[in-house]
Amino acid sequence: MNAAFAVIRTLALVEARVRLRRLSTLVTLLGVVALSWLMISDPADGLTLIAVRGARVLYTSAALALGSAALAALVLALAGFYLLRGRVAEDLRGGAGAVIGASRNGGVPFVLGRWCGGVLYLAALVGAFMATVLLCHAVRGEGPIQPLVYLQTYALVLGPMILFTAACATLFDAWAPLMGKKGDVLYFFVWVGQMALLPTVAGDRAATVVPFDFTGTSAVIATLAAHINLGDSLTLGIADFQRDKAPLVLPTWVWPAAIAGARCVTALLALVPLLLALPLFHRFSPDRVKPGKARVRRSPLAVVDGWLRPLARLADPLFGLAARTPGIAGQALADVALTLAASPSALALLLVVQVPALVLDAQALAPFALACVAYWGILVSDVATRDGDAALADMSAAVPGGSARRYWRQFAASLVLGLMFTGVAMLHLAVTDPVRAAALLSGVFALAAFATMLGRTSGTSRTFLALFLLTLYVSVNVSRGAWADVVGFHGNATAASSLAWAGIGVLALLSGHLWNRRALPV
Amino acid sequence: MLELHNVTKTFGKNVTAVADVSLRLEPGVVGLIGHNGAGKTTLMQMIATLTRPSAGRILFDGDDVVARPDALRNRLGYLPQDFGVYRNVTALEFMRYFAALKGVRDAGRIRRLLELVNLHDQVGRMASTFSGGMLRRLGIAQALLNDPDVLVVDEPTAGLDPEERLRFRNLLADLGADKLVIISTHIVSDVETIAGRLAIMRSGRLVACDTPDAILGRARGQVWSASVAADEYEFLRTTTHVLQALRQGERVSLRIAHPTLPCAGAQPCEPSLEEALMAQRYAVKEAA
Repeated sequence: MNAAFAVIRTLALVEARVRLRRLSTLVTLLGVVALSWLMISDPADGLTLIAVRGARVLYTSAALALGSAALAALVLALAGFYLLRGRVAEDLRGGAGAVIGASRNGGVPFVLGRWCGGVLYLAALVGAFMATVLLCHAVRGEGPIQPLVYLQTYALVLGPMILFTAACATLFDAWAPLMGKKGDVLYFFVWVGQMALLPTVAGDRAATVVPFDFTGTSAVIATLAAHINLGDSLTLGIADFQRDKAPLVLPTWVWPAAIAGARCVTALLALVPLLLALPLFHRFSPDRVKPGKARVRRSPLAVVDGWLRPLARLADPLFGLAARTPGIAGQALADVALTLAASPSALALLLVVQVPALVLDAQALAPFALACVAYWGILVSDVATRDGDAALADMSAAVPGGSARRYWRQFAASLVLGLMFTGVAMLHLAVTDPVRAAALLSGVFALAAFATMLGRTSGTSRTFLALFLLTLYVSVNVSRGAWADVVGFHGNATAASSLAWAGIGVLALLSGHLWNRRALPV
Repeated sequence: MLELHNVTKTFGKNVTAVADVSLRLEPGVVGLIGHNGAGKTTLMQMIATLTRPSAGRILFDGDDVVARPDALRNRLGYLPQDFGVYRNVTALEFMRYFAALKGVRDAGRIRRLLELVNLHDQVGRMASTFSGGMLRRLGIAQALLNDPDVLVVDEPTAGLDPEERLRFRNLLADLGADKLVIISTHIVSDVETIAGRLAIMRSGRLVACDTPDAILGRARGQVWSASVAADEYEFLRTTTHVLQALRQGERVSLRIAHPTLPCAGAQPCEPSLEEALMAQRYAVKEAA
């Protein structure tokens, strides 16, 4: 037993170290820092972290811990999964999978070790987040910094979230059918499912704690309700408040025993995916997870691509055109052709979407365009990383233009694909609602820029994929504010917000370009 | 054709991967030989314009490749040691993609190259399902797409079966008739029959650049064969450079590299190229 614990401990520490050394961790940490400072708004600006019936809750340790933990749980439940995902694929690519599978520790200790490593890693991220919130408390807080209050709240809100996210990441890596991009998208819906619990909770006067709410939002609302009459108005994160209303104050120790107990039950439920992962683990058996071939056979999308394989011939003329087109334009076209040839289902969809884009009215066009953007974003999420994923980075850097031009052609290819999917809808919109069309254009531009920049800097498509899906979610659910309407879904976007997004896209592109130049070995 | 002038590559402050290498290369097959860590791959990557030298110049037909890498890239074929293929892409699509990246407009060339590497009947197959040998042949076809004047091939036969290795060597020998083919390897047999020149690297430095015959000539008289008792073999292991030891009952049949007679009864013998390199300590393991 002691030997098994030693193996699990070693595996967990290695896993945590491997992940902490990644650039994507740094990117996430920076994002977490930005998020914490963004969410704890300065009341002087008329915004606050928690507002109840128009009154703001005073920035004490209890309030800041509760509000920041609730919001961080939502983000980290999504981003954390994508950060943890994919280690098994790395094992397969690097050949370590077969070694692990052939070792006597290839089963339960391995799965538990991976899960523990994931938990440690996410706990470290939460620790960094808490440190930045404490710093923010020092600047904007309205009471003493009480670390134990923070620790209690973070443990109760973020603890079950960490356990669940790590367990899901372990399960999605351990069970062959959930490996790959399909699993990535499926988890997004799991996360959205968590969000779907929120309206029920908020509308419930008793503010019950939902056992399957691993993000802890229902528990936070119930805890607030235990001390403050929420009425029908509670806003968490960047909330407006009325300055003439007296601020509300939470007690130092906010957690009622019943709710804390419910969170412990949730923590136990969070282990269910881990328990499923143990018997389902493929043990790197080549029958179940043979790289390439097995994936093609098992993935439904790959099966569909197999059926639609004859359609890939439609990309042939693009290859010819690319060869005849000189410079970066030809190379970008080659990347477009490769993306479509590798995904005949995208080609089929590309043909299909043009008709509704022409005939739908302006009102129906916005959700339709959003669906197109969602598909396109998933499609191009790996354009900037596929050379590295396929161990072709050197080969594709030895062509004219080298790796410096590769960065720009991959951006151009992502943008062109975006225009192919949304261009007709964009032109149609331009007739009736040019501002909305401009928002769609600038949104696609900015997203293509981020796909390329994040792919280049983090080396994995998951960084962009996670942020992209989060952005779309926010964009759909935040129905006011021009800045949140990234692709013009709500019609709130203005010329200024579109320009701002285009500008942000340009900045992202330039920073990625600088990174790319810096990363070129001299 | 290709000239390297005092090329140096350092990583950080303390690690010098390639130190002050100067070479002038003309069409033909050049074998770049050295142990793992000798600096071969870094030198190849600099020649392939993937990384820039920290110091020195690389000229191709008089053009400074460091300042204008595309001058070489347009006429370069590069096959790295380890490479893969994109998912869900057939061999033909893979070739078309790289043809487009290189601006190759002759569609017939892809077919001809796939015939050259004997993959013409596999064009519609997913490249990810190829065996190691097929993948390497696809890689060389890719490297030849733009009819390069310079072909840089890193460890070309790694993972190939004997038949594939022979086929690959012959193909590279044919290409070397009118192109500069630079083959990096630590397996001497890969290049001994096809290379017109051998460039030998050790600890980042170019320690020799000569024809195989000249290297063999210098080793003559330094390679010996002997049959000794087991205890004498243990002694010789500590005092000489034993190249080969074959136990035959109570005795051990040896081939030894040594500047003078290593033991009584030893006979001078004709060295192989690998033995010649070992005898001259060009290919001894890198110092830690």
